[in-house]
Amino acid sequence: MKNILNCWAISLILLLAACANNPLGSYTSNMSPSLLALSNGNSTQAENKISGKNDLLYYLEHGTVLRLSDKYTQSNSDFSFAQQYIDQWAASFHNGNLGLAADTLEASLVNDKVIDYAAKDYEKVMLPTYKALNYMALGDIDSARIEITRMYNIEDIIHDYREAVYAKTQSDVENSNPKKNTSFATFEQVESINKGEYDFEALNSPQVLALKNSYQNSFSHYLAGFIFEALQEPSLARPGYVKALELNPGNKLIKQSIDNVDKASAANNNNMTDLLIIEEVGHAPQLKSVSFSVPFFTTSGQNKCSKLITISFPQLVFDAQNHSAADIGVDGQSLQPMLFTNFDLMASRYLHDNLPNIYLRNTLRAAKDLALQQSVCSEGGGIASLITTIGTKFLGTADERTWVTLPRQIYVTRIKMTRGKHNISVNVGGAFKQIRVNLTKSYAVLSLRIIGNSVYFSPEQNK
Amino acid sequence: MVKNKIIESKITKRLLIVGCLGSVLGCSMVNAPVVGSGKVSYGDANAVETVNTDFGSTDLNTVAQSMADDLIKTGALNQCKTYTVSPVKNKTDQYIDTENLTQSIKTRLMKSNLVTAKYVLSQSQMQNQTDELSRQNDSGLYKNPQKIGNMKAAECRLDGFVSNISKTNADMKDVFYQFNLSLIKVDEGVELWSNEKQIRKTQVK
Repeated sequence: MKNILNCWAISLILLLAACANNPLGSYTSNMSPSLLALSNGNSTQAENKISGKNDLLYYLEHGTVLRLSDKYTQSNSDFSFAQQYIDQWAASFHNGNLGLAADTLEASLVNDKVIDYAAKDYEKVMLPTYKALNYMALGDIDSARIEITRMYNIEDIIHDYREAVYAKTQSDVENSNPKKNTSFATFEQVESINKGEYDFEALNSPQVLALKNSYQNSFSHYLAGFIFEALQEPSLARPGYVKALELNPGNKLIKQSIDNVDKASAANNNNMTDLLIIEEVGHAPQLKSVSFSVPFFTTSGQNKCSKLITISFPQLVFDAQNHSAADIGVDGQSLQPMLFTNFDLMASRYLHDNLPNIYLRNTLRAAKDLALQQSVCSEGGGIASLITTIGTKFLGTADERTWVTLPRQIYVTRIKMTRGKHNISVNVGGAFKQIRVNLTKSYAVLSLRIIGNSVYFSPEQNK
Repeated sequence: MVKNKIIESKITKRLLIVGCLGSVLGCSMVNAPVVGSGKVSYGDANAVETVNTDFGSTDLNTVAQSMADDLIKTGALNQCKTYTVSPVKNKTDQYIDTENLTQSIKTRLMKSNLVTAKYVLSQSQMQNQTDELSRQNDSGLYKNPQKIGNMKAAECRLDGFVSNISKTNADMKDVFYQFNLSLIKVDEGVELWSNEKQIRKTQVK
């Protein structure tokens, strides 16, 4: 037995050391150079700084950076690889395996980070949204339509999945304490004890709780409405705008768009272009593992003892540079884009909804670690005991993986202009960045992404 | 008498042969190899679908059948020589492609022997039509291009909308759909016929 445990411990350390793209390493540290390169205006360097292969998250990040470099076909190629992972997840769920929920046990025994990255709910929705935007930049609106239908179909799957996971979590909680003589503090107790060590308040703010859920965003549905409107399909454009308004109540631009669809006279004449300007600001929050102690109770006969165990939660680290939208100038006329989607809030809501489940997995893992350490110690201790202790400590950090090259916020404005060439500018950090666009069709989309003081226009035409 | 028996016997044999051939062919169709994991299968397109409370295939079939049958029964459509179908407005918060609904109603009307009115292309189908006419007339490739200016205008049009009311609580979700369709005389603006179909879908959580 001692040899087996020694073997296990040494293998674990060798495994971690051998991995070039260490799944247990800090994803935040890995991605920081890429984000820095983007904020310095160097998307090629940012592309090269993204490490890792054959991984969903790699394709998401790499595809996003390629999009910023105007490489839309290559970007969609990466996004298609990423989509395969999402499709596998959806197929797994449909086949009754409950997809990722079935991985809970596996993750609970080792660490969330050792299982393949499963995109967060809002990331699953943003993937087809970005593919649709890429196709719009390529002038292929029919393919954009396919992606946008995929967007709202995946929302339905996520909705069903969340209900199934909720049911499974309830059953996990009921079966989570096989040993009747041990118990952990409840999540609510942990929340009140560790207020100073973990920012629970950020996850419980009124803005976070006001979100309908963590996966539906107003921008994706507004884009759906716009694409269907451009394709002369008002019966599908209207629900796109209606859903966008449900998720972003009071937004005047969305209300106006619904009114326009309802009016038959809203059709464009041949000399005008309906231009949708999308302003993406900053990057999505990163995750940092934060560890703290929670009580763990054991009962021996009549005696009840408490110990402290260390658990780790992922904490959001928000973009420190970009906080809000910049005004956009169109031929000298100033436009103030309206906020549609805030990924700070969506990531917070995702954590808010998932933290109790993460805590459950942490406690299962902690119980297993304690049992393992005691077992190694009773088998003779020595080097194996030390390695096991280090190993379990190392494995005990929270999963920091998240799609960080998503924007922090998405703003939108829309204007009807005569066809032809126009100047569009944005004021970032006191400097004007400008693009010259040539509008030739009834509907057009222009995206601009601000990271640090750098601006990336898509498509980068007639600059 | 004997001759009749011989003829009868020949007919019986032929019928048997045809029957056997039919069976063999039928069997070969049934036993066609199936490629795949077995997790995907074909279902009855007319089966009742109750996956969730969203507007689904059963609702589409029910509405199209009910509306078209009622319109045919009243004979109102035959007051017009030509008719078209305007895009059905979707006033719900769901992504319902009402083009399917429109096409389904139109197909049922066209298949009926009781309808004498001719269907003419709708607004959404006109782009392809004008593109084809332009291509034939402008490209210089055709000897006898179809002439521009011969298209028939719709004397009447069908116009409709679908709307819904949703209510949800912790235990259930209830969605009420209402579909309205009217037949309108284009030149006069007179409504010749109108009908509505209501559907209630309830899902217990």
